[in-house]
Amino acid sequence: MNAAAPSRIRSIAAVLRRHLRVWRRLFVSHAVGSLVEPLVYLVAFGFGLGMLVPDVGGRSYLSFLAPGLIVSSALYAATFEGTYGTYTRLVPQRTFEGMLSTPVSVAEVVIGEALYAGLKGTFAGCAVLLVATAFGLMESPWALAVPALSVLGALGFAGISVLVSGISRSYDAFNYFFTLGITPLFMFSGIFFPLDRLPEWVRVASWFNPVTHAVEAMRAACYGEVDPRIMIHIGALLLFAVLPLLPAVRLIRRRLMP
Amino acid sequence: MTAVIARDLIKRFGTLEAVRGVSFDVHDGECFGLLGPNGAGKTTTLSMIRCVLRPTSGQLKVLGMDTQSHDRDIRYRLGVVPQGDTLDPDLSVRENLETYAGYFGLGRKEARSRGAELLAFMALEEKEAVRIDQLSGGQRRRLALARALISDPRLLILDEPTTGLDPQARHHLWQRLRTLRGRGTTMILCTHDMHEAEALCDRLAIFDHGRILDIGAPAELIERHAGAEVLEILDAGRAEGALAELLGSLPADIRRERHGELFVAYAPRVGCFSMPLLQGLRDRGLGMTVRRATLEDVFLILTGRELRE
Repeated sequence: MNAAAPSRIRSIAAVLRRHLRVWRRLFVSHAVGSLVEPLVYLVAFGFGLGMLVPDVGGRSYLSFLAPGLIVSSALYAATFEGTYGTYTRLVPQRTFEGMLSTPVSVAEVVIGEALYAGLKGTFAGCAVLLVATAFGLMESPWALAVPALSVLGALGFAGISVLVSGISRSYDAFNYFFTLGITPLFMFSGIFFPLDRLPEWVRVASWFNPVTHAVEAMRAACYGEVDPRIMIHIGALLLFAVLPLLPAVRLIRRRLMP
Repeated sequence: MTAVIARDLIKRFGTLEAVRGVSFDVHDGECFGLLGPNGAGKTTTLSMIRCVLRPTSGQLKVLGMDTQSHDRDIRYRLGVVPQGDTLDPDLSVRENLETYAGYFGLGRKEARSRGAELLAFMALEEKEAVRIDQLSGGQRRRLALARALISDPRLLILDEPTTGLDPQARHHLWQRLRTLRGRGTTMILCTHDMHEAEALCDRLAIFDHGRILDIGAPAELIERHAGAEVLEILDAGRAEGALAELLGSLPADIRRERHGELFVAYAPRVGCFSMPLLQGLRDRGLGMTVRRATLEDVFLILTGRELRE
C-alpha cells in the first residue's frame, strides 16, 4: 500500500476500467445491435425513401444520409448510456456510493461516466462507418477522421445526459429529455434533410445545436471536403463536451453528499 | 495516535439538526461502538468520519488529518461496510474485489492476490465467479467486509453489519470481526443490536436525538446506569397490593420503574433481591425473573421506552 492516495487521473482510469469490465460482458449483443441497426436504416431509408428523393447537393440520398446516421448513432448511444445507464448506477444500484467509500471523488465518478458513455457512442458511430463503407458510401480517406469526430460529439451528449441524470428523480424524467430535448435537436440538425430550405430563423437556431456541428463536420470528413470551417465545428463540439461536466459534478455531489 | 477526534460536531440538513454537538475519541486498536435508536444521528456521524458528509460545524480529525482538507487521503485509509450494501451487481464476486482494489490504486497482481486471500478469510472461495444477485444475505455481508478490507485499511467502519442476518451468519461475521480486532485493527461499529455491541466493542457511545448520552466500556456503562441485577415482573397488575408491600422492604437505592403491566427494579449490588422476597412474590402468583443487568437495560434507561419511527 502506498503512502499517498492515487492521483485523480488514476481514479478516473479505475472507474472507467470498471465500466469496461461490465461492457465486455455485454459486448457481443451491443456489437450486433450497433451493426444491424444502421444496416436496417440504410436499406429502409436509402432505398425506400431514396427512390422518392432526388439527389441532395449532387449526391444520392444514401450518400447524404450515411454521415448523418453515424452522428445519430454515436450521439444517441452516448445519450442512452448517460441517462438510463448512469441513473441506474446513481440511484437503484448505489454504485457511486460504493465508489465514494474509496479515494475516488464525485468529479472522477462523473468524468468516468461521461468517458464511458462517450466511448459507447464512439463505438456505435464506428459500427455505422463500417456498414457505410461496405455500402461504398465513404468517398475519401478523410473518413478515417470519423472516429475522432464521433468521440467529440458523443462526449458532449454523454456529459449533458449525465447532468440530466443528476437532476432526475425517476426514469420517467428522461421522457421529457428525449421528446423535448433530444428529438428536436436531432431532427433540426441536417441528419435526415438539409437545413437550407428551412426558414431563416431555424437555420440560425441550428447553429446553436451541437448536433448540427457534428453532422457538418462528419459530412465534410466523409465526402473529403474538408476546409478550415471544420475548425468552427470542432471548436463548438469541444466546448459542448466540456461545458456540462462542471454542473454535472455539482448536481451529483449535492445529491450524494447533501 | 488517536484514530478519531471529534469535538462539538454538528450536522444540520436544512432545519433538521441530525447531530447536535457530539465529542468523542476513538483510540488506536480499539473497537468503538455507536449505539442508539434509529434516527439518533449515528449514521450521520459515521458519514462525516467517512468524509461523505461535511460537518456544519465542529472539529473532526480522522487518522490525524482534517476531514475538510484531506478527504481523499482519509478515504484512502478507510475500509467501509455501509448500511445495506453497495456491492456492484454488474460484476462477479471476484470482480467486485478487484475493481474495488483498483479504486485504491492497487495493481492488478496485488488486487488478485489480496482478493484471493480475503475470499478465503470470508469463506467465499466457491462463490468467486458468481454474480452478486445469486448470493445469500450472509454471503453479501461477508463480501462487503472482504471488500472493505482489500486496501488493508487503518480504520474499519461498520454500519449495522449484521442487520437482517440469521444467527449463524451473524456469529460467523462476529468471529471474523473479533479476529480482526485481535490483530489490532481499529474499528468503529454502528449498531442498534445490544448483543453485537457487547460482543465486539471495547467502548461505546450511546446516541439519542443527535447527542451522546454517555461513553464507556460496556461493563462500566452497565454498572453506572443499570447496576448489577434486574428484577422484572411482566404482569405486575395482578397483585398490586402484594407488590407494593413486598417492594417496600427493598433497600432505598434500588431504582424502580413501572411501564403498564411491566415492573422493573435495578439493584446496584448482587443479592439485593433476597430469596424470601422472591419466594413471597411467587407465593402471591407473580411471575418474575431476576437476571444480570445488560447493555439493553442501559439503553432503555438512557433512551426511554417510547417507540421510534
